[in-house]
Amino acid sequence: MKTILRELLRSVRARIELLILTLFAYDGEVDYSPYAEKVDVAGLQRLTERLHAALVPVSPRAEFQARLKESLLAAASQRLAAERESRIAALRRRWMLIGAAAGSLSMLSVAGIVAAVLLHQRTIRL
Amino acid sequence: MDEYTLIERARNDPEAFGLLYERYVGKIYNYIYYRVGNHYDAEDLTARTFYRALNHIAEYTPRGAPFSAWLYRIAHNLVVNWHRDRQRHQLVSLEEAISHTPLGHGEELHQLSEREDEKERLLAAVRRLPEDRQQLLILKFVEGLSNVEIGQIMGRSEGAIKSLYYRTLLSLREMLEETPEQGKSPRSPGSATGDE
Repeated sequence: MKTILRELLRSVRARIELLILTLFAYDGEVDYSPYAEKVDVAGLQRLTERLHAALVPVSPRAEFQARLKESLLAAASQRLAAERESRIAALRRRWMLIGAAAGSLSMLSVAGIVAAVLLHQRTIRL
Repeated sequence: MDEYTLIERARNDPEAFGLLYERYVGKIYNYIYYRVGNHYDAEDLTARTFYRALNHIAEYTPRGAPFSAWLYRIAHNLVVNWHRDRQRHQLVSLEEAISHTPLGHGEELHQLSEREDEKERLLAAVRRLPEDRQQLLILKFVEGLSNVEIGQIMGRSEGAIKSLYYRTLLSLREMLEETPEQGKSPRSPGSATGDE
């Protein structure tokens, strides 16, 4: 029973603090002095300081950075070359289709002319 | 060169992509390092983040958010998948991953001072937080971003970030109060195998 009550009190306390903090917070800074008595300001400030000290920037190894850059540049160049090649191939295919269509048309035209000439000659003979 | 021009150029120019890489590699590495807790996986995921960015930069459209927001989102998705795979395969326990966090390359456990133990305990608690709260703390403390910038990256309003930040502080404080000794020693000693 005691534990449940303690948990309940803790939960209520956290909710009240959250409400006050949310209402009076400025861009991440703890600034709500009128409520300092109700909220454990010092405790939260200490926690923020500890987070500042623990979460410090780290640097990737220089060798790793250089190697990754090199392989990214190589991959980017390869990708561009592949894209260029596929564009050229697509263009080539298009021109081949146009050529084939033009060729077919001209063959049909020649066949038509030949047929017309033959038909004409036969008509004259008759 | 401003960022927009650089991104436009990077779509067809490897050198421009190289400049973008140099500008953001440190930030992305930091973010991933604090999410995964070791240098080895941080390097692997950083590389994958930039390869994915390279493969999709043609589809990138700036929608008011900075380019870094897009990169962080790629990194975040990769980290989430990494954690999911890790849980599935159970290669290394969370405690072990955490125990690597404050150490640099080659540092020995016995060299840890009391202060480092404290730091380790705090980082262990941070890593037990939900993903969005971890992300918020890393962006705020490691990257030094403002609530507006964090909101752009996480796709939330400034007010929502403020509220999340304070909820995070409160739950972190509660976790530290409840488990003062947790994080100093593994909870399940038999479950861990090393990855480095």
